[in-house]
Amino acid sequence: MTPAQDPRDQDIAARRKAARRTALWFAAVAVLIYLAFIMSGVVGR
Amino acid sequence: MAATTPVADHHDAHGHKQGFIERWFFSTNHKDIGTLYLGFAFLMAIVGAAFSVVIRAELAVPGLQAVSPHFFNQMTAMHALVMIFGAIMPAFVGLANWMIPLQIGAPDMALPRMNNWSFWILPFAFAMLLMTLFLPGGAPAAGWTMYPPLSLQGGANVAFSIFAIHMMGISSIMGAINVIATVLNMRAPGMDLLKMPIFAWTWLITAFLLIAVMPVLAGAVTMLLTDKFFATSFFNAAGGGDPVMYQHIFWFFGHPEVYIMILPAFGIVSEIIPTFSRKPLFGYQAMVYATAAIAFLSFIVWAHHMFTAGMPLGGEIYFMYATMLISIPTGVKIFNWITTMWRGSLTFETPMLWAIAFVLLFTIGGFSGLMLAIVPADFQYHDTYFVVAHFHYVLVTGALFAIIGAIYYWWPKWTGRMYNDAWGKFHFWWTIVFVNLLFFPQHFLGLAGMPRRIPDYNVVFADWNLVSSIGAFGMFITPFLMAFILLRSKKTGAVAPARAWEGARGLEWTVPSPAPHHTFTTPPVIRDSDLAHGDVSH
Repeated sequence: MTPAQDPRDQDIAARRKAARRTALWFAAVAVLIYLAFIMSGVVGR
Repeated sequence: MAATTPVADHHDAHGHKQGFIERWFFSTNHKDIGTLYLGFAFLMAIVGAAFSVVIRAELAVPGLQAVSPHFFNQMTAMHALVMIFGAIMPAFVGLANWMIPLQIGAPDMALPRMNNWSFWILPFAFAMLLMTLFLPGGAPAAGWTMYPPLSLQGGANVAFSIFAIHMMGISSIMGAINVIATVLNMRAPGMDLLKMPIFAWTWLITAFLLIAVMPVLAGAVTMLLTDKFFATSFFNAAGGGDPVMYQHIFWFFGHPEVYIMILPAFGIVSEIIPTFSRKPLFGYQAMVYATAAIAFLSFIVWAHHMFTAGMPLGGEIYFMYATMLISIPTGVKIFNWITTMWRGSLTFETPMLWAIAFVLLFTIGGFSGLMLAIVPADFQYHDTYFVVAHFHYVLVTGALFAIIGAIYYWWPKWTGRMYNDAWGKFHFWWTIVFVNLLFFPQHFLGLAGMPRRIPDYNVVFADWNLVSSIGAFGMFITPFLMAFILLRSKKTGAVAPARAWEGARGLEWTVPSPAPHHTFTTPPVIRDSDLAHGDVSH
């Protein structure tokens, strides 16, 4: 039988999952800004 | 008292002792990584200060005596790059690592392994940057702004320094993502955003700035790299490009970068002043909104750095007035700090002295910034020592003073030891004398027309240059003095209680000193009386 998980650990795990989602979103924004500035240089020419 | 009791939680009972390598190279603990960042920043501050001593030794008297003009130019560029990206920014990230989880009741940063990675990129980035000093042709010598076409005339250092900047940028972005993910997802139940300590707030806003502008710098230097090595012409006028466009892109990063280095300093001062005034921070919400307003305005004022590069009159007027607008939210902060002290039970322990000096001297830097914002005046001041004086009052007596104040403020929490307050005050007064000898005369030199980034000058500038150099030599002693005070405290200092300062508020002061390796693995029960200086009634 699988032992029941401590609700405290479940809470932390849920928070870390949400944090990973937040991190991925912001990483995507950073990459988009980087590409957008280089593209503006390319298109501007 | 809040139930902030999980001071020696189950992780400490594992019986697993970390070896040196495991603890310091593979650590995912926010406190250890914070210590690594602060140690690295201290080392880089000494390297950057050594470069500035070379500069001031050359400038102590007119003529060329200490170093060649080319090496002098390398020193000015490297001093700035090392101090900005190696000392000030990592020091703030170190403070964020140490304090944000403790302040918001989180067990650690949200992404601990990324935290380790974002630190360990830095030593490699700076090894790469510093080794350019030993390459044929030497280190970057075109200033930290790396304006083309001058910066592209360097040799192998262009590729090395641009790769190093990319690595620093990746490190900063990962650090910023971690702060945002931590603050938004890991706060203890009951720690509403508007109950957070102001240091956590200023860092949250700083992290948004970092994510918005570090990729812009990365884009600019990537285009420099391809112009140099792949025959593109982004900034090459001969190929149809525009070198002034680089300046616009650089300063679109560069001006928010200034606020990246000062907003966390505002947060630190907003922690220290209420503690030693024994009053809550005056206008907590106004401080939060002022920080956000400054961050927003920092995006729309970049061209005040390049009035003399040429732009339409309407553009000059717009950037002049937009820049002046920043003084409104900044003024809100200055007045709120003063009002916090007003009729408080003030005491002047070492951290408070640094915080008060910050308020006074940063304001001088702010006022000279206002002078530089005035277009016709800027044509006179541009590229003179007046600009050098201005930004050193902002970044040394502003950002650096706040970092030193923070270290003296939280040191008892980190180590469990008090330091000798008399020695701390000696460090403060020594610094105050020499920092003003170093930078205040540069206002006079700049107003008299002495240009920056030159190794020689007219003899009419000799006297104030000698005074400034004496200030630099005196300042170079200060990091060693601080190291002595803190190491002595670690060995022989009095044991610090959990609440090391009588007036201190906030969750970090509810855990023992030194803070246990793991804290808040059981979320604390928040009580308003334990909160920092937030608006507990909202």
